[in-house]
Amino acid sequence: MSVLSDILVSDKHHSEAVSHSPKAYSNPYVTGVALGLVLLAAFVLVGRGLGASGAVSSAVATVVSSVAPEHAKANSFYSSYLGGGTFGLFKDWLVLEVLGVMVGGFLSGILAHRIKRTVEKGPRISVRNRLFFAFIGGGLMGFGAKLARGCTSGQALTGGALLNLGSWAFMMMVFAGAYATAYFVRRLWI
Amino acid sequence: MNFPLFKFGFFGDEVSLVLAFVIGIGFGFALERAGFGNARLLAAQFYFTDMRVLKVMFSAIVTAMFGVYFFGLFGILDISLIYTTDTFMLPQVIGGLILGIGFVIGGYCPGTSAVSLATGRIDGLVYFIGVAAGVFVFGELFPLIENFFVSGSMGNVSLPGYFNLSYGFVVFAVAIMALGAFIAAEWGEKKMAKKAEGK
Amino acid sequence: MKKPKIELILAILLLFFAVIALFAGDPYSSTLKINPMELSLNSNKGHDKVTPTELAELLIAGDQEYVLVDLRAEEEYLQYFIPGAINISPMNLLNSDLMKNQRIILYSSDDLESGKSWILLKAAKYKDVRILSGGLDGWKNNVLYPEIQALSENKRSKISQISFHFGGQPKSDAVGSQTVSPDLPKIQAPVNVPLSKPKPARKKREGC
Repeated sequence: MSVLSDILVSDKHHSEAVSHSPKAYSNPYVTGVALGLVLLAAFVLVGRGLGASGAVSSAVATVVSSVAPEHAKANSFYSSYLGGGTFGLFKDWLVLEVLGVMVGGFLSGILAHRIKRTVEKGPRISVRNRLFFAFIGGGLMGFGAKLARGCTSGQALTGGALLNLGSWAFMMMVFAGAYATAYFVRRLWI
Repeated sequence: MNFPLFKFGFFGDEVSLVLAFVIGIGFGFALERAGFGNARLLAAQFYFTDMRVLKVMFSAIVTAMFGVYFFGLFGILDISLIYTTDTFMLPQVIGGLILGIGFVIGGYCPGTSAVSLATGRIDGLVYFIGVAAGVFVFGELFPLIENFFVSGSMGNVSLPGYFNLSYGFVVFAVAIMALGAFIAAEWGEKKMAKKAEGK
Repeated sequence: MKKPKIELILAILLLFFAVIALFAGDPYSSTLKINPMELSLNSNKGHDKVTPTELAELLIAGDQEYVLVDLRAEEEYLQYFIPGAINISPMNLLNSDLMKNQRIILYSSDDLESGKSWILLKAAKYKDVRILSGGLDGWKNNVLYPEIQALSENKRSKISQISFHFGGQPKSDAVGSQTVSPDLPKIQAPVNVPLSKPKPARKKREGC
């Protein structure tokens, strides 16, 4: 366990309590407004909003289809992301957008000297457990996002700005679910 | 009325894809600036110590909402051409719950995990892979849950439409609610900080 | 302690826009504002009509980039409609599936109804709306039963071809005793064959 910790965490004194040093990150309101403007640009230029889970779905569908094409075609979920064979993964709007997100995140990180090969976790949990829960959390999130037809970027942000009923309901439930579970997993973070 | 430009034929698919990438860069940049590439900061929201998730999200929503509203009002933007998903109340509610649980267990959402892995966080990468796994499980189980997936269908319905209020009024209400949330968040953070100091 | 300055500015801006929104009303209002300048300027550009022959050529070429709308009553529509036209009554225009970014060509029996609908759609900010010049009468007189006597040789054959394509027949002056308004050709094609809608109906997913 500590070996894993050594390999993954470049800064051994990494365990910090949940705190924030204001000068490291930008003002949340200002950043929020900037984010809103990016979203608005998407609306105004392309007529659609942001998203993330859709890109993952396209990727998964593409992989499944290349490994087991008939299975993918027969499954109406996968086939809805495959578009009848004339569709390429890198022609998918969301896939390109998510690639941009990675580039943008990297750029901002570089400029702020925040690139670090590390594992973010609370002080009371080990790296191994943290990674395990990261995977589980991701899995739940992936499943829930497909049920709800979007994740926080697509449904909450985009749908929220457009005053979509389902999106607002979704957003409320996300906060509710997270707050309800927070106590039980506090070991992970604080 | 010329906006959204793409829907009025001002440019084609290739440019649209380039825009996707560029817009994504803006998105990712803003997310990282806000500290959303860091799971501890994201999770702090749910322990009331750092409410930036709420602040960033609602600031973004209010900004874009105002933009759409005023551009629509001035006849520059055709709101009806912006894509929105139909509302499927039941799966969206349950999906939201599951997502919230996953959020606080894993510490990210798909978008922020992309930012996180781009800045070197291993947990972000693992999370992102987890999302793919979750989608895969969903895909495999899809034939079984298909009926649930399309239940509670309400069509394309908005808050003003559903509650029979004017669009402008809902814009006002959402903005005021957000402002209230911001004030409550600032107050909450200060209280938690005092509590921590007091210890 | 954090300086509250920027937050205060943002909060004030938020309140400012919120209050305006409270009083400014709907982006989708039920009363349309007509901008006379805009409309009259538009009319001078000559981009708001299509002659019957031009429409015939578009149809023959299989051009699918527009929606052809028949504004007449349903019974008249069912008796005869220009191939590919869909039937929408002027009352239902704004509630229909027509999108503001589509190319729309309107026709009625003459130019009156289509003219009125043109103003309606333009005031509602539909971008590209055109009238079939002469309406269905124009279609009859220029496409289905054109006068070809006065035309030059090559024009004559082209116009005749167009006429036959749509089930009509060129009028020759000599047969003056022919009935003034011949029966319209019977439609054999299935009655509701609208042209596939352009861009908005593309298969591309836009979800997240």
